Amino acid sequence: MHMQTINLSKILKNFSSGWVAITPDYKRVVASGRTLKEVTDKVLKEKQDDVVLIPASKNYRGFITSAS
Amino acid sequence: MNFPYTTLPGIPKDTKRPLIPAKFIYKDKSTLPILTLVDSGADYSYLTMEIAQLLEIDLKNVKFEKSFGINGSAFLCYHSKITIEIGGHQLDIPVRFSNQLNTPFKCVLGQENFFSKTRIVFERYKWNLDIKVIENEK
Repeated sequence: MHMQTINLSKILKNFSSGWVAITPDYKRVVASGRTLKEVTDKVLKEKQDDVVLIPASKNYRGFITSAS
Repeated sequence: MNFPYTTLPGIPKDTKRPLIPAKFIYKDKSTLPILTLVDSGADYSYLTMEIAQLLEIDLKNVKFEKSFGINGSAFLCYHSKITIEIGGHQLDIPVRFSNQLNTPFKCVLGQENFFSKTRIVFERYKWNLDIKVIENEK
């Protein structure tokens, strides 16, 4: 049986660089920033630190272990 | 611990990757959870230099080393040791910090002292990553 993947393709679509903070249910972007420190400072300041961070990219394919 | 694969934007089509939320800890400082690639093809764990800066890890006296991408291109990195927290489990692992990671993934967990401290099963056929910590837990 297939697990349901965490689908970030839509909510990350508008980010091409920097870092993005996402709610733990992976449904909503809470903050974004040019650097890891910037986005960390933003969520801590807003007391919205129950998040998961991810570096943003337009294209996550083509890495060393390229997937199909 | 089961971690479903993550679907990410890709060109020409989206891609599914084995990412896990991991906190990186050094002394009394910690990152927020960061989605981190588990990469069986990487000899070592690589982290962006941004994490070293955030955790205030002093790398001034650390001699740089060269690592190599699959195409043979070299990049510079600095060796250190940190603690990672995954699903409530903490492990000490060696990492290499670099500001030359030529990949969208700025945090990569590789073989050295991570795969040897965990049982990792890539269940790609069902888009699941199964990780069990087996030794040296803090």
